[in-house]
Amino acid sequence: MSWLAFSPVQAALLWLAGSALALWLYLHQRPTRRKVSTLRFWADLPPSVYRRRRWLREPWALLAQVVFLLFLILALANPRWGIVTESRRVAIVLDTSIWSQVQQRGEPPWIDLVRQDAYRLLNTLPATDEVLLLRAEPDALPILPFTDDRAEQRRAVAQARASSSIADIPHALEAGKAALAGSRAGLLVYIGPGMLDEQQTASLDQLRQAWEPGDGSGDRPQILFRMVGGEKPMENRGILRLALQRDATQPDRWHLLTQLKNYSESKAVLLLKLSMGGQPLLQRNVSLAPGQVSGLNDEFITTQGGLLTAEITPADDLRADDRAVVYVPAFRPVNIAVFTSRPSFENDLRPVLSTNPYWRAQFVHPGASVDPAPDMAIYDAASPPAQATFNSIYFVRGQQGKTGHPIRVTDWNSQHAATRWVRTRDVSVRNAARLNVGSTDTVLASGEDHPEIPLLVAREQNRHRVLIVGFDPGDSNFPQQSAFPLLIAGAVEWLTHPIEDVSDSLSAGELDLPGSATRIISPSGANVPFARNGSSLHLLALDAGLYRAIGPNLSTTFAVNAPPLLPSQRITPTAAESASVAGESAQYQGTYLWQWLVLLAMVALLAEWWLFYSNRLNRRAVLIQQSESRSSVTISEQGAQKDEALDTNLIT
Amino acid sequence: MAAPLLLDRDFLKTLEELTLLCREDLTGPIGADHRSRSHGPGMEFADYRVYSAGDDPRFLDWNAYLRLGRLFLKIFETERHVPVRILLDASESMDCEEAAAESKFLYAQRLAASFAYLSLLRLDTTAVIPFTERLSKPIMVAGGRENFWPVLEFVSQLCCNGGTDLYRSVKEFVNNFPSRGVVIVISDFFDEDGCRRALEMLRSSGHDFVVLQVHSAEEQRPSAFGELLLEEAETGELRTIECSREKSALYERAFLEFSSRLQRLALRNGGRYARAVTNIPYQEFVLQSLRGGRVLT
Repeated sequence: MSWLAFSPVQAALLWLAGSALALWLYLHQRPTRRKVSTLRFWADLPPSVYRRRRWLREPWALLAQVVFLLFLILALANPRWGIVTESRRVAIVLDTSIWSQVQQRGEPPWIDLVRQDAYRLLNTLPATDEVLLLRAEPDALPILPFTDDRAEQRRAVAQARASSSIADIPHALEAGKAALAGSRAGLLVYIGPGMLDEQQTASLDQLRQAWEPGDGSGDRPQILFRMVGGEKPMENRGILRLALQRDATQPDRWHLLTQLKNYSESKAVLLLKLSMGGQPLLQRNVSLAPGQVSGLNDEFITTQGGLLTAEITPADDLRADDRAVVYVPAFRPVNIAVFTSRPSFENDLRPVLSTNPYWRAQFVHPGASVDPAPDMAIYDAASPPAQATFNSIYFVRGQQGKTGHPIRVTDWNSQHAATRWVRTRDVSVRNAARLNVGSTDTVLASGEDHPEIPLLVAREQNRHRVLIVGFDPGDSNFPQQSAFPLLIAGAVEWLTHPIEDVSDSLSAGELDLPGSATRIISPSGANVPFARNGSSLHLLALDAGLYRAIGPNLSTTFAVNAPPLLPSQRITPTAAESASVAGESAQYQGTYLWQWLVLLAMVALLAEWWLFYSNRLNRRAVLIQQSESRSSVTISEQGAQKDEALDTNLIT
Repeated sequence: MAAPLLLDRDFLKTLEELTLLCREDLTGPIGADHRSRSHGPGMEFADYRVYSAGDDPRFLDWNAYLRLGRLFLKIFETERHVPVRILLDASESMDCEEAAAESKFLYAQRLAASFAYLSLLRLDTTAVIPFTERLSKPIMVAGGRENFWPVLEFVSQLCCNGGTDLYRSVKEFVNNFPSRGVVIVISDFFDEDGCRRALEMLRSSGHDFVVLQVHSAEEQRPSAFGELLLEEAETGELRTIECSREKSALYERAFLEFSSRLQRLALRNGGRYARAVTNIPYQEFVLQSLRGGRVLT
């Protein structure tokens, strides 16, 4: 269909508008006509030297040219004469959710049945119908926008793959209905297994009442449901969840929770196999009653980390939830070197550092070498270097020898990672050091003095982090406060890396993951669109498997599993919803007019040429006569010059 | 058909306080309100003279007789009917301006009706005679307020048609109306040559005439500028002109010179002259311009 396919009335209006414009162009240069009582006073005036401007020397030729252009534009617009009906719009919702992965014994997968029904539907549609292909999964991009290209539609249906996410059928139908809004007639078809949970069932019932589906002849679209599968009861057992928690006392020991569910109506005996990095970890038999959810607890020890895979056998009708993967973080203790020569300082820090099983502290004299190189260092009574070269905590002592008044430490920066757990107002210090705060430094706490003095400063230089404490713990009551180990814990985590002590399996659907990435690759190798939301990523993971998030510095891998399936029931279509596709009420009866318009344009063009050149010849003859009467100068040269002058001024 | 209300009622009430001035040597039947040089029955005392036999004893001044012992007769000025004839130009030039809010002809109709009302109030015989290239059928009524309605209806039903020949029209008028009286000529007087001869003829016929030149503001100073194609209303003649501000000023000068010539012509022939511009309300023109211009009192 042409984008400028005007109706005859519209074409006539356009032509009239163009003609009016041409007429105005001709007439607006004409002098204003006025009726007066007498001309005698004008006759008494001295003769005017004004000579009427003639912008249009050949108005009829111009008019013919405008008409020619109008006909040409109309021909390009491809208008049609007669009754022209708008093509019907069809929205097909293909359910490619996790349910389409079901393959019952001796039958093809339900996704194949969905495709077959989609082909059947496309074959029944008239060639002028424009079809939109949608997914039933929430927030999924359309498979194919509106088009009447049947080959492309079949290709898109063939390439539609089953995902591992849950469908939101009412939402998808609503989206399809919205896409049909504004079209004269429409057809909305759902093709799929039609599995609804309780909430979706209620939503669909509400939508059915609100829509009052029509037969496609009026403004209301026809709504059809094409159900696939479901003739036989489905056998399914699945893994609901894999959750890991690190042991509190032994960092390389993990506690694993595996949740299984028997969706079938018969008892099932399963074999659960756990493996890590391809190596079997353990296996056990599980017996599940119909509908039973069972949680299994296991323990294992690993320091390396990796992907833990859980798999249940024997296979059932839906294999997507028979396997689940969870990421096991590697264990890496934090080595801390404490440079001090004062036993009192060592006595203050040793209890704090030794109670955390993830830290390995080493107390050495200042200037001593530490092997292997620690992850961070704590310096007693030392000034921070001008350029930070190592992640460190510096305890800077104030002026010694005089006893100052105690200063309360306040204004703890709760936004910073190092002090986010500290809230106390009971800490007071003496002999506080005067810390130099750089333009990029962050003050984490201040002394309540006049004026306030910075006591804790966080500094980031050359990709190294330094925490500067402007007092001696021995000159304060800080070591006796519960906030002290909290400050050290927060500071160590900020200076090194957070300790991952829990891990949970991810389910397909919308995910929010911490970290940053420039690209996320799905298990099938396709790029996954995502959004950065602060320091986390938001993405829609439709497929189960391993995803790769590629960041500016490193790439990480995360596993996505099939989501837990809620108790579901199938859609029961009404008779109207199971009916066949209504045929188009009116067919196109228009006749294309472009050939006639081109013909008329050619006639107008010939007329323009004839008008222009005939007048030009007349003017030439007049000029020749004038030249002859005035002088005997060469007639042809004068005539040519006049003609050129006229031609220059002529607007055509 | 009901005539349109050319004059509003308040204006008519105001007109009752006015009088149309005319020359005192005009004669006519006794009985109206116009003073004349004739002595006889009247209300206005003029003089005394010695009684002679045959004089009407009703006019004897008995008080003078008691004081002086001689009979004196009181002489009064006779009040006579003066026929008032209103010549109204109904040519096409009077009604050709489409842009004007009030056409010259409507303005002239209002003036003619006003004069007719004035003269009828003073019990004068009144005639409204439209003319173009010659005289059209007139209306003539005797004095009296009750005769105003037919005049008003007649005037309001007039329409413009044809060209102007003032001389020929006046010639016909003089032949048809030989008695002397007040003649009010309402026109634009663009037929200047005919106008000169017409006024000379009115003077020679002894009429007391008033020349009322009616024109629009646009006719005095054109406000449309640029290229104009002008068509003369009466002849249909076309002329293309380029109107600028300078041209407009020159035009106005020519027009005012014409008006001045017309005024001089009227005065030289013993008549009176007044110029009405249609953008001035007719009430204001009648009550102020005519009152101060020796036409009304």
